[in-house]
Order: sequence, then C-alpha cells, then structure tokens
Amino acid sequence: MRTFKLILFLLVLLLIQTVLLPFVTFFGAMPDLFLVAVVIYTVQAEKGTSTFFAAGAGFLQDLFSAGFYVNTLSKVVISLLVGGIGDEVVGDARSFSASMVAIITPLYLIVEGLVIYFGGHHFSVFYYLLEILLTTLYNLALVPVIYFLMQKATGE
Amino acid sequence: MKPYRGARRKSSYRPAVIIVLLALLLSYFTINNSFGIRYIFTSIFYPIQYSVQYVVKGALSVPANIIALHNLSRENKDLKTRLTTSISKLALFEELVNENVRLRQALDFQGTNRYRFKLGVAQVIARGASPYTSLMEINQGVLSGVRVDMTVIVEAGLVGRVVEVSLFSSKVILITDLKSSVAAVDQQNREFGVVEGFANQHSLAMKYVSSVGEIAVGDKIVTSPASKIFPPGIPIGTVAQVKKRDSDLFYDVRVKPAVNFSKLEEVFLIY
Repeated sequence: MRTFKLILFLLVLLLIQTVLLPFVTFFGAMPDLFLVAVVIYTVQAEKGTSTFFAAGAGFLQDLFSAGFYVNTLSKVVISLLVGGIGDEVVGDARSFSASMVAIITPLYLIVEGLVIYFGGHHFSVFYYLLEILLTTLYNLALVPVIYFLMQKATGE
Repeated sequence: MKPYRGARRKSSYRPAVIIVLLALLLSYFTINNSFGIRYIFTSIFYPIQYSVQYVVKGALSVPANIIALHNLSRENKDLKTRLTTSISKLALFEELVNENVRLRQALDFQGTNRYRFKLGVAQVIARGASPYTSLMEINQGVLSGVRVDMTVIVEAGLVGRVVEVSLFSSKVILITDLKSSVAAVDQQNREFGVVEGFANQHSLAMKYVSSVGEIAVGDKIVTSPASKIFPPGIPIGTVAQVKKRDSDLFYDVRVKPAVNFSKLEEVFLIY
C-alpha cells in the first residue's frame, strides 16, 4: 500500500513539475520538486527504501526529459549522500532537510553547469549563478510543503 | 517537530553499490530508449497531462476572459474597420505577389518555393520534467506526422526543434537551452555565426562572428541557409549588444530573442 502511495505521490509531483510550475516560475527559475522530495524522503525513511525511491523519482524524471538523462543516477547519489551525512547528525528532521536542500541544489547545478561548460557549451556565468540562487531559494521555499505532503502520503 | 536521529545502523557499501549499478542500468535503458520505454511512458501519461493542463489553463484564463469581454464590442467594431482597409490592401498585395513571381521567373531565380512552409499547429501541454533544460512538450506526435528535428516556430520567430517524438506528443528543445545551437546570419550584413543558449531566456549568444565583418546593435538575426535543420530566413532575434577587443578573432554578440518564451501556448511545426 505504501509503495502504491509513493508511486502515486511521484506521479502527482511529475504533473505539478511539468504542467503547473511553468505557470509559477520565480523570475524564470523553476524548482526541482524531485530533488526536494528525494532529500526529504531520505531524511524520513530507511536508507534502503529511500534510495529506491530516489531511483524511481530520477527514472521518472528522465523519462519526461530529453538530452541529459542523468537524473536517475544523480538522485540516487543525492540520496546516498544525504543518508550518509544523516548518519552523523542529530537534530530536527525538517531543518536538516532544508539544510540539505540548500547545500545540494547549488552543488547539483554547479556540477551540471561544469559538465555543460566542459561539453563545449559556453554561457553567461552571471545568469547561471543567478539561476542557481533563484532555484535554491525556490526549492527551499517548497521544503515545508513537500515535507507536509510527504508525511501525509507515507504516514511517516 | 519530528526529531531526526542519525542513529541508523551503518551498513556496508555493498547495497549502495548495487543500487548505483541499478541506477546506471535504468539510465542506460532511458538513454537508449530500450523497449521504447520513453515512448510508452510518455504516451500513457499524455491524457492525464493534457487534461490537467486544460483545466489549469481554463482556470487561469477566467479572470482574463471577464476583462476581455468588456473590450470585445469595441474591438469588434475596430476589427471591422480594419478588415475593410485590409481587403483593399490585400488586392494590392496579390497584385504585387503576381508581379514578384513574374519577375523571379524572368530572372530565372531558383527556389521560389523555399519560404512557403506547410505549417501544422500544436499546443504546448507541458514543460520538461527537469527544470534545468529548456524543454517543452506539444500535443502533436507520430500520429500527426511529426518527426525528430522538425522546426518549431511562432509568428514572431524561431522557437526550437523537435528532439523526441511519441505517439500523441513531442518534446521540443528551445533555442534558449544551453545545449542548443542554430546556424544564423545577420540579415543586413550577411555575417554568419552560431546562436546558442545563454542561461537566460531573454538573451542568446551569437558566436563565431568574424571580427573583420560588420555587425551592429539592432541588426536582425535569422536562420542561416547553411543550417541543415532549420529553413533559412526564420527570425531568431535582434542584436542587443556587440563587443570586441582588438585581439579578438570573433565578436561577442548578444541577441534578444524574437520570441517571448514564457508565453508560449500555441506553436507551429514546419512539415
């Protein structure tokens, strides 16, 4: 039952990400709901389950993307990273989730930017940094919402 | 508040390695579109996506529709006047077209048919699932005859090209994407270059414009005849900034896109 709920939750996230969020961009920046969900679920659930959730989320995201199919791998790595850091940390789960989103979002975008840059595509560093900042803020703003929805969805 | 305790038992690296390998396998399936996996998922999910976007767009357009209703009567009157004027202009235009065709034939000009695109209309139903790519999904797919690399335009100019096609829908990569490259030419000076995404949907970069050539702010940039994907002459944008140092081989050119990418609802495919 919980697996079914999680799949349904991911499908709802996909709908929001692809259909609703384009109408509510923040100065052109869009959040990555899947990244936020993966971080929060990793904090809330057991390590094994959360990594499978991350793989599922990334896989779904890859299916509805084009060009760069790295979401499955990157979301699994993020989940393992958050799980690994979480083993060493004691504190409030929501604050820890927010801190991880605040650290991982820019890190993820910087790595992606470097990959694109060394792939031969040069771009404005200023605008890219601005996008990193805006996306991070947007992701952070959505942490409480996703946290609440995820608690409702999984009962954890 | 739920306390988070990092008291989970530290496990070996084996499960993590297995999951990473599984993730790599899934990525391999996605990249190669094994068993038509992307095609199947996109086609299954299409009706839900389409329905939701239909409801959302409908809900968002209600306030605008109410305001628009007030202006309809006045606009109708205005349009009737403009229509009368246009009919007379159209007659003149048709005459000019005929004259143009005759003159072209007289000059033995080849490719007179080049700009007469066969267009198909498509509705934007979604954006890409990954926010880091400038991607959109349209409601025309294989069943409508859409193919990969088809050019997508709007009245104002070039939007992008089709990168993936499924049964009912297709994915279009916008020219603002960092990985997008379009062979372009300055309409005035015929200087060639490559227009690329610039991490900003309000600005594009035009690269490889030779510094010995001439390019100026305000010049119109269109698709180049050298492009193997895009038909020539489609507006891309207007030169907004030109920089060059004495030692540079190329100009550093910024182009303001002709299309407002944040307000795309309907687009046209060139068949």
